[in-house]
Amino acid sequence: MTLYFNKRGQALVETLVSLPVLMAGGALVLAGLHSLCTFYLVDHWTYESALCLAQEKSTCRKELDQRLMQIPYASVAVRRFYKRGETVEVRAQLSTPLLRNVVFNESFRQPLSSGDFRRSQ
Amino acid sequence: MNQSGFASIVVIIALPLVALLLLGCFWTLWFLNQKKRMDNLCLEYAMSAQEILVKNNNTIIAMNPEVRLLHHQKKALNVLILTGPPPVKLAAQAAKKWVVFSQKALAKTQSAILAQANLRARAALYNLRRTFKVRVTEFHQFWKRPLRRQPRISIVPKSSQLSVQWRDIAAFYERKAKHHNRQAIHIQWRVPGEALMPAWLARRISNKKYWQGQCSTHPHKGGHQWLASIGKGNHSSKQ
Repeated sequence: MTLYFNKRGQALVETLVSLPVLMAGGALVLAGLHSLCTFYLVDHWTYESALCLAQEKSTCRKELDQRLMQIPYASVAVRRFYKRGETVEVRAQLSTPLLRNVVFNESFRQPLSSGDFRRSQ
Repeated sequence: MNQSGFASIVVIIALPLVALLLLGCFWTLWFLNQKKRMDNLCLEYAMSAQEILVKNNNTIIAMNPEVRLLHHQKKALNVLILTGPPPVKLAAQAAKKWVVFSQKALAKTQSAILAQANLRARAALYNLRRTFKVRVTEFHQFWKRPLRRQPRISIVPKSSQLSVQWRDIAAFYERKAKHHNRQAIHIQWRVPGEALMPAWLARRISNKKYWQGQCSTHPHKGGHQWLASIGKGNHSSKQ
């Protein structure tokens, strides 16, 4: 009988010790995946927004803000968003629980040429 | 034994969840990359075609002063032929023959430039069509499944922005400057949703789901020159 209770106590102790570790591990994996997806999403949206701005559309900033607002547990600040003369520049800064102040910078010099779109082929 | 059962239950519940999460993240990153590649592909070839058209239109417009000069020379020589004394008349007739020859040569050059521009632009758009199909083939090869529905791409180039103002053998062209006359190229493409996922998942989605995209280019007046630009060119403030 004593042995049985000893085993239960041991199991309880093991559970109590391992649960936080398991939860921390799980949270770390989740945070990693979240950061990875967020990183590529923000990079992609910044690029699309810079292209949009190069087309002289007035809704680009609003679209970008609306998209960035959808990302949970991340703060994204648009630092630069302008088209001056021949230069188009969009800069965003991302912070997630794992990433601190990652900057995405997309800039184009106009006129754009067909060669500008070959970069990720 | 109880602990072992508990561990098994945790693993059984957690593994599919983790696998699903990993697959979701992997698919999102893959899709973002493919979207960028597809958009860039569309813009690259559309811009390439637009650059050819704009460049050749600029060349044609740059020939206008020569067309006008030859026209005025011919008019002046006609007056001399009608009113001048016989030696002047003979010289004027010889000069007129040379002017007419120059006009014919210019007209031929103009037609050649226009034909060449059309051909090269269409070749660029044909390359887009071909590369698009190769790209979609890559998608379904990646997911190792045949496609039940074919991808589509529609390319709509608008008619030339140049129009003949007057013609004296060689044509004097004007560029229609109003915005609705822009020589835009609109491209729309769609890929069946099933090309973007493994077979077991594709069976669960509707047959009508498509991944669609579009891109456009237009000639744009930037300062004193005309350039190829991306987008439909709907901006009304600056032209």
